[in-house]
Amino acid sequence: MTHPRYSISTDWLSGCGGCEVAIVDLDIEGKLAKFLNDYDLVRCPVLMDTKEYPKANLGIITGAIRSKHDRESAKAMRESCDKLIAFGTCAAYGGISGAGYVHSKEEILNAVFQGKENIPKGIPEMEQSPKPADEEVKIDLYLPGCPPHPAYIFDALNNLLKEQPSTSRPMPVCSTCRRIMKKTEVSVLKKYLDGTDDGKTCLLSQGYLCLGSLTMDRCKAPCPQRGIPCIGCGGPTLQIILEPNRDLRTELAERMSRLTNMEKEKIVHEIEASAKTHYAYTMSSQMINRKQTFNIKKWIQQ
Amino acid sequence: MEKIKIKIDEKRCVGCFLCENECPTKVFGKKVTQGCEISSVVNVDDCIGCLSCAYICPSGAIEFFDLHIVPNFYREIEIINKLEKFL
Repeated sequence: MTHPRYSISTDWLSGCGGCEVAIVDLDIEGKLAKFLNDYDLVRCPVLMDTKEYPKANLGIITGAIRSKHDRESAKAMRESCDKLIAFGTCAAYGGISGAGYVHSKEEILNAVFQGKENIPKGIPEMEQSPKPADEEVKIDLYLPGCPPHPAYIFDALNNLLKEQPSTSRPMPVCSTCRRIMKKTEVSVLKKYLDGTDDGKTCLLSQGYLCLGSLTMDRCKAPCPQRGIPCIGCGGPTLQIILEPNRDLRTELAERMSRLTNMEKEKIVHEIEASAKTHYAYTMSSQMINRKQTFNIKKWIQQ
Repeated sequence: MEKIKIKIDEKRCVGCFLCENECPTKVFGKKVTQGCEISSVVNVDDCIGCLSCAYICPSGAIEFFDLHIVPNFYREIEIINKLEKFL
């Protein structure tokens, strides 16, 4: 008996292309052959020169909406696909392009091109503010992650096309990190490049601002396990999104102040001072920027 | 009335004991599993269901059962609808 083959169309908006690489990385999980057996790629700008938007069972949008071209592409994808996945943090939350949220279109163009007269002709017009894909088109499934780990990609495809129940749970990055979190006597807040990591103890306990406990695990914790503090590229946990009084900086300060000898206020102040880094991936999403606790424009002025 | 049940996922627990530190009624203790010291529930009868432990837990390892859920009316319906579509 032959099983039905599903057609997949992908489009790449303002993003880096890492999400497309993640699909090829299905091979890590030994699932690339199964992917190619079950699905037909009818449009994939990374692999084929296609300008049209053919009809497909599933559309995969990667990247945020930053220009007029992105907006029109997202709409064309919605019209041509039965179901649509916002694939990766950029499509789900705005991602790294979304960090432009704190500046106006004019400020960004001026900083990049040093004057209006230097802007090349023919490039797509930039939107006033970057936004995630769902502000322009209806999305059927969100898969955050920068990029999502291959294990979750197959789960998303099966969940949406074959209507199989998802096995992925919304857990923080710490749930897969194997470092030991313990009380230490550290009293100095370290920058990412300061000192040497001991390889075993949790980075928070060592005084590094690691966002692992506040970030949704769609990556299987590759960075913290190799000594690189989590920068929250997978987007926030449900706790941060749902609770109006809970915020990335207060939650992190709460945990870190109990694990080290640092005061909560000092940690909150440090996060506010480098807020552009800590909120970079999610600040253009209304899930974060509509929160009363989020006041990045004030923090930047200070 | 049903008693609250608390389950700690031993694979996820990172052994920080923030739950023990946070709990107002001393529900949590320590135990050793596979050479690692992790948190365990020692006094479930004292639990008042405040969920402080579940909120402070960095790895989401604490799960509650048979808890009386009160709807949170302060949450935005748009965001809830969106979150239901998250994988």
